[in-house]
Amino acid sequence: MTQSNGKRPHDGQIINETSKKIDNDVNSKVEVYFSSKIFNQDFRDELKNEVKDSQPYKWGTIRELMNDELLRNVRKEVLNEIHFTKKETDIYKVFQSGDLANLSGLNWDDLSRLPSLYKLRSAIYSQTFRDFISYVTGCGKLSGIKTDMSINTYTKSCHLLTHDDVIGSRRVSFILYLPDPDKTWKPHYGGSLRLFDSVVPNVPKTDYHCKLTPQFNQIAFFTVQPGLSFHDVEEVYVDKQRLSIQGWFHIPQEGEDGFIPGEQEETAKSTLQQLESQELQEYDFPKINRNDISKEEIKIYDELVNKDAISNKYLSTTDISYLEKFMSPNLLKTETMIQISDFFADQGFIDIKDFINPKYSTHLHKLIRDFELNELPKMPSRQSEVKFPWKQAVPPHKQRFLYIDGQHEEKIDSADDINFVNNCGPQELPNFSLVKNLINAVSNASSNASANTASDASSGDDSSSQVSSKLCELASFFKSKSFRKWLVLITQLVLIKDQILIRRFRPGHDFILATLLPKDEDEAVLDCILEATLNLTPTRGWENGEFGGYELCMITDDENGEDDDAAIYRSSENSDSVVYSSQACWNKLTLILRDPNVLKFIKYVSFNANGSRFDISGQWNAKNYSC
Amino acid sequence: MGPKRPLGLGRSSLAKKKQKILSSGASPEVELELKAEAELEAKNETPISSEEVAIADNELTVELEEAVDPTDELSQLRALWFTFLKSERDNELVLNGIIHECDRLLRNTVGTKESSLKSSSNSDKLPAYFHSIYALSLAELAAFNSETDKVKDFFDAALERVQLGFESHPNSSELFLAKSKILLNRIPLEYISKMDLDSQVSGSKNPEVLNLLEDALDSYSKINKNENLKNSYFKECSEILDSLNDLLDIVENFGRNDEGLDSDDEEEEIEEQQQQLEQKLSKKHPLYKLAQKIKDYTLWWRKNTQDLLLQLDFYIKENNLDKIQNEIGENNELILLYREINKKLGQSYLIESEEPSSIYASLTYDNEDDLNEINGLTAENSSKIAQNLIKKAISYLLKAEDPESPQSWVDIAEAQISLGNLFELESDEQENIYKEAEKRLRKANRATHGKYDDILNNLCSNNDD
Repeated sequence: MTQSNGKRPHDGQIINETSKKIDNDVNSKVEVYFSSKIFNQDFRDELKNEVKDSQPYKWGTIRELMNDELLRNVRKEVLNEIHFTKKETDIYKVFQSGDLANLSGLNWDDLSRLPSLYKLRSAIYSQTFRDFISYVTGCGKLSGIKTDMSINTYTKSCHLLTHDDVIGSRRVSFILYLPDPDKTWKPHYGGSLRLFDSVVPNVPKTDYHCKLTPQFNQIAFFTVQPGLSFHDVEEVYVDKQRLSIQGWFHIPQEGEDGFIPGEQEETAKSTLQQLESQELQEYDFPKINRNDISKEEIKIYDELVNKDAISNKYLSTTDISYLEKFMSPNLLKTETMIQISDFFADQGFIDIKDFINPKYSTHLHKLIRDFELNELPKMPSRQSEVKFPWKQAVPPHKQRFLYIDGQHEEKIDSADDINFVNNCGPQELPNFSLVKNLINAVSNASSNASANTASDASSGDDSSSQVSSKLCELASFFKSKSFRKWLVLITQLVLIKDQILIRRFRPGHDFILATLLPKDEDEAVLDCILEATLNLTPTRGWENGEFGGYELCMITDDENGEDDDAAIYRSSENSDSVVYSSQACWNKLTLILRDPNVLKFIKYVSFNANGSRFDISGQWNAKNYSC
Repeated sequence: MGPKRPLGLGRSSLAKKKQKILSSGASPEVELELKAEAELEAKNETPISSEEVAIADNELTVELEEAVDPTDELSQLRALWFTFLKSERDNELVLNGIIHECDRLLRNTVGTKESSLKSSSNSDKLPAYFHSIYALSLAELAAFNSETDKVKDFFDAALERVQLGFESHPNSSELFLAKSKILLNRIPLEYISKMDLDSQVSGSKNPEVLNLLEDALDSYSKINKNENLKNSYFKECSEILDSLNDLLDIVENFGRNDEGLDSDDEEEEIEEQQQQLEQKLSKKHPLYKLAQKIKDYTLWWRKNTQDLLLQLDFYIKENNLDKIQNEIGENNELILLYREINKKLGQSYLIESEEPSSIYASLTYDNEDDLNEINGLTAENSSKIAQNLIKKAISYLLKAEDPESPQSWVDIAEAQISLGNLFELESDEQENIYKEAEKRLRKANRATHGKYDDILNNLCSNNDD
């Protein structure tokens, strides 16, 4: 399962039961802090109707919500007094607020140095404004004692991926925007709030439904609707600062007007049930579907791991000459194989640079690079633009990337389509060679047809076909017996099932959030999975991780992954949990024997990356050697 | 017993946490256990505390140059230093390791001499690069301590090391390079970072920044430009020139708002930011004298950058680097550097063209007062000057063009648009230049999946108007 649901960057101290009553003096004066229009009944009714009719779920926005001077002062205070720390997890990259005196978090109990911020918080959680929000959203009563706000700033490359904000007693989410008050925040700066419709509850569609480009003193709000209120913050594309204050109105607490005993517990319980529901995985594509390796082949592998020592003599000359077509010859030498095997046995992983041989690598590098630099038709950015053999990984609160799985085309646009694929349609095995032949055949046919009408588009299709075809060739190689034998020898694992995917992580779109491996109850199968990633990213600039696209593994003690902060890894206090990381690069094979408690993710690839992350990913089940 | 069966990644990492990269190539490698550094004694000679050293159980892979003896300690030191330079330079632990190693080598050498020759603290057996590495590592450490008052101590210690090196190697280019680099880093880090618009020259706390700069440039001039041309020479010289360029930029924009100009900012915003730029420093400000001589130093920078570029060009051709790059399909670091230097020169001419360009625009399109000239330039003169400068800029940017970097195509296109703006509206010259620019922009936009949509729309809508 993923850890994505309901997560949003916040200060450790903020989600708490802050039982500070907003003082009555402030409450009575609160109207001066708001723009007068919100007290106008026509405005309220109009907004209420807008929210009622809004899509994809109930949400609303108000421009110029607060008194302009107050909010400008808040902005000044925040910029002068608050220290921001970069935080990066699988789901976000953002600068979070911390008090200057206490860098670990802003102390909301002492806002003496931030008088305007104090006024703002008082105004937001005042009876007046809570009643207003209740009225326009129709969400019911809101708590005045449980305040829950944080300040974040999104600068270039910051983002927050799709989530639904559902945690505990949250009833309404809001975001008050404070970019530079004297400038217009333009759509091409990025940083928009994007809302997602759902395929079925808990499964957001992969493309956003609508987006809001925020301006200074604009608020966006929506009722937290379990399984429906999916949204994200588009990456900020330019070197500008998008400051915002965000928070939640909670359901009334004990002693407050509107308190319903057991309501909070009930909401939490139902959310958890929805998350744990097995049914949800039906909507995940690609499926985790490792195919059986034949018994005869497994017998050969059994024999290989029972040899006294690792040696390339257990590979036939035909094996070697086939492997050499793809791999660096050095990797097929006995001494190298022993070296790799020792390291792998010791560490549980190994990085092998220059895995593909130089000739093949140079050709493939040029092919992919030229294709990306001249991509036509343009890179697909919505699901409908993705053309077979490529498919799009969904849903976006877990993952988004393009892949080739070697299987036939599937339509997964709606719940009915998905139901057909899962329960009725053909269940065939992958065949990358066949897909490759199909790509070549279609490409030849189209180039013959357009021989007399040469156009950019047809040459673009051609280069796309060449890349896809070449990657399928490598995927076939990953499924070859010779390669499996080599793998068995160096890993000393008897491989019994496999799944190979060709993947592309597009800039400005793609990622995989942290996941644990689903449990396999079969005792004859090793609880670890052997994973291989052949990095095939031809562009430069990935080394420092600023473009994202890196692969990272962490250990979690909590196999359910319920700890909200388990994915925070870049801060020093959590660095111990990171057990492996690898930047996107060219021609590196990573082998990992992944335990059930190892979370793994691929970081969102920035819009400003110089290209896509490409890779070939393999997973193998192995025989449990203790059985 | 057969080969070992692996544990999972999680289980293995509980026992130990290290990561190794195995190259299928055959370059020699040395592994350095940094934890060993923690056991080294913290010396009082350098401003390092033992806490700073005893941090981690890390492992670092250091690649040695071909044809060096992997057991030679000085070669190892050099390799470690280059590894640090190639990295993000954010590992204080590695720096501390280098400094401790320098200390150790120095003590050993001095010790040997004392026992055998009864000599005092002679270290002339140590090569110049040893002193250079020692000094530069100390100066790099200053950056990690920029919040503390140790910055001065680090720079003083670094310059002292250079001075000791000169005693044994008085004409060493490596030491001149090191000195220049240290001084150029010292000015912003130790002095400018503590200034604001109200700072005033006051006694020894604010030494003449100008003198430090002169000293740095003097050192750079003393480097023998003909000896031992190799990759590191070009990179180090270029780094010094970059530091100078950055310093001039800091001084020129001192006190200005951080957020950069955006190509799509509304005109009034640009004007507002320009006004900020023109904010004058008072005569008593420590940067005043330097600010007055910005143009001279910019010319010095340009002249020396052009000289370095010529040398690099010659070196690339002589060693067939461009041909080799095409064959192996990988990017050679010197070719990347060559493009980078060209880009910077192009940008410097573009910056110089801004004033005459804006005079031309004011006199031609915004001349409500019917002026014939501004700052002694007529529309015709200013256009001619600006055109020449931008053409020069474009010639450099074309050499900086990287077939794999859409940004480099956009740089050319933007310069072409600036050039086009200097011709009569809708004239053939203007249209042709805009078309050229549009071609490059479209190509870049395609390669970056729409990154330049906005500039392109702007250009095309202007064309359509």
